[in-house]
Amino acid sequence: MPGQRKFKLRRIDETRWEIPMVGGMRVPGLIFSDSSLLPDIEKDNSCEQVYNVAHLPGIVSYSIALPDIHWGYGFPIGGVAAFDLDDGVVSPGGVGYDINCGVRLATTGLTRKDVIPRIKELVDSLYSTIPSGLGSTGKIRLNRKALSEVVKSGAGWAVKQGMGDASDLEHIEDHGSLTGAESASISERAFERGKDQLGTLGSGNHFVEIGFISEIFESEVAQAWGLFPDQATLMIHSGSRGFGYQICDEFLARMIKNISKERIELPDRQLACTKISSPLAREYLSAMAGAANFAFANRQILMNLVKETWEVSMGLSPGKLGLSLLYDVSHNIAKIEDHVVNGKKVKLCVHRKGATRALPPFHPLLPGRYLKSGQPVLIPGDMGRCSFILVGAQGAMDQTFGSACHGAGRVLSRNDALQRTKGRFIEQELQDRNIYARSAGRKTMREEFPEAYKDVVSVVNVVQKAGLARKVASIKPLGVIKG
Amino acid sequence: MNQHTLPWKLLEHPADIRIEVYGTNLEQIFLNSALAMTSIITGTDGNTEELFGKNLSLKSDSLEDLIVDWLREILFLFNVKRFVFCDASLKIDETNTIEARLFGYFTESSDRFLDGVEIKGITYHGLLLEKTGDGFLARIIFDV
Repeated sequence: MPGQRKFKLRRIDETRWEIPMVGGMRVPGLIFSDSSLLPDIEKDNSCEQVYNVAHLPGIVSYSIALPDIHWGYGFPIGGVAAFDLDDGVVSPGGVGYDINCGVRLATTGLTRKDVIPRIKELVDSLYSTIPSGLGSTGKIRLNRKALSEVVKSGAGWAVKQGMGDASDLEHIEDHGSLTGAESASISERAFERGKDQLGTLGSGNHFVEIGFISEIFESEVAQAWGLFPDQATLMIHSGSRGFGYQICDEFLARMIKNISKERIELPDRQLACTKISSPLAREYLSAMAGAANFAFANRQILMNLVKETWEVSMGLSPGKLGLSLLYDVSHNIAKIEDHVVNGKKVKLCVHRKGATRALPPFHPLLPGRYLKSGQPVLIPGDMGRCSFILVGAQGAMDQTFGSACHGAGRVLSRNDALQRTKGRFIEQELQDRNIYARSAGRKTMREEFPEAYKDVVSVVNVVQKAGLARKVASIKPLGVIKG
Repeated sequence: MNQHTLPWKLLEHPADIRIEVYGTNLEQIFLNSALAMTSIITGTDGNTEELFGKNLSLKSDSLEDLIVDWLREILFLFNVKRFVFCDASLKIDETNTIEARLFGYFTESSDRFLDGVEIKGITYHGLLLEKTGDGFLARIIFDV
């Protein structure tokens, strides 16, 4: 918090603040925010975490925080850090426990008028079909061999089983499968913890949301992406479940034991890391890729479950729903990527923890459909207000290693949220706003009530003003299932 | 620690769950930390189930690491073996080794824990285990 800090924030312009280098910092910190969001950021330790990350060996250019930043553990949530492959490190804490927690958005051929009269039946059906909540287990039970195929192939495995279309894979970050995933890098415990969790939503802030396009900001891009006003949409937020948590947990413990051997000084042990060139780093990146692929498969399975349920619930013949995957992005990941630093093309290990990749037009990793426009960047808000579809812009490549924010960012603790909603019936309050919501956990609705989050409009406006991504459309919720 | 009605309390944290735990000795702080975590993941206190015993032996580089490893094991047992921790008899020695007999019950379904919160991991961020005037105090952040 400001009073006890070893550094001072320096305003660069209306959307950027710098933590100038002091003490053991190897690079400055760079925080994207504005005068309305900054006071909330300053309330907790998130700026200290940006400062701490700047101490890590081999970090390049800046320790970056996006406007949805909030206090995490080790790395801030809403943070980006890129590391040189020779001198730099990889850190499981820079990815997080929920490896490849992410969001996918699919459009439909329906409008909100088609959905509103049936929203209760639809949400109730989804609620009974999609396993959600603490420790939920799915119907897909795989043996070790089949799970190893999921680890290797990601969303492609689900498509091969008939859950989705091959064209879906083009519309997923990295085609729904990170390379380098090896089962040999993953422990028996991780397999055990993840074996019955494929096709489950999880708990807390994970959700399935039926919504509609409430506003279009860039009609040319929206049209090219098949978006139109009032179009019904599906958004899914989930990750690698216990499989990813276990992998993060084990590698974190191994790296903590290894720190003194590698002579890495850390301001916070949760930043435990290892040189990217080490065998332990290679093993972690391989296991992390496996968890990322598990998450890609999970979201693919969940989308297929929603599709089948939606069609049955509304009495639509197969195909009439017109469900089409717009994009699937990862929020928690570390990847080796090409970037330009000081005019030179370099390979870096980019950690995004609570951040979204945001590629500009004509980036070589874009699929044909998005080559001219840039990558769809999906920003869920809270369950009562709105979410955004953005398009990646060149400013992200120039300033944030091709990254934008990942959501609204919490502003209240779960405990605070429970205190403030005492005696309130959030489901009813949402229904009064024409949003039908259900949750598995009894406290989830209150912990996740809209005001527990920053206003996503302010967050996205900073991203747009800073040139990281531009608004294409906004989505308002009609029905939500929370974990 | 007599002034505390529960041997642990929630501290403020915007995204995760941060707890402060009290104990008159090391063994008690380990026990209370495990009970606090179980209370968070199940949303309940106490039980009426038949208890089963399980042995657990762990050695870590430091006491702080040991408390993380201890909670990690109990969390794994809950998530994978559906073993709900209720009590333990334990001994911690000067080599940061814990020998424990855990007592708990097995549950088929997590549906009964509707007030529970899923803990993804036990973090090292802001981890504290220290001696105080009248015992020990621990601060732990769980990723949820």
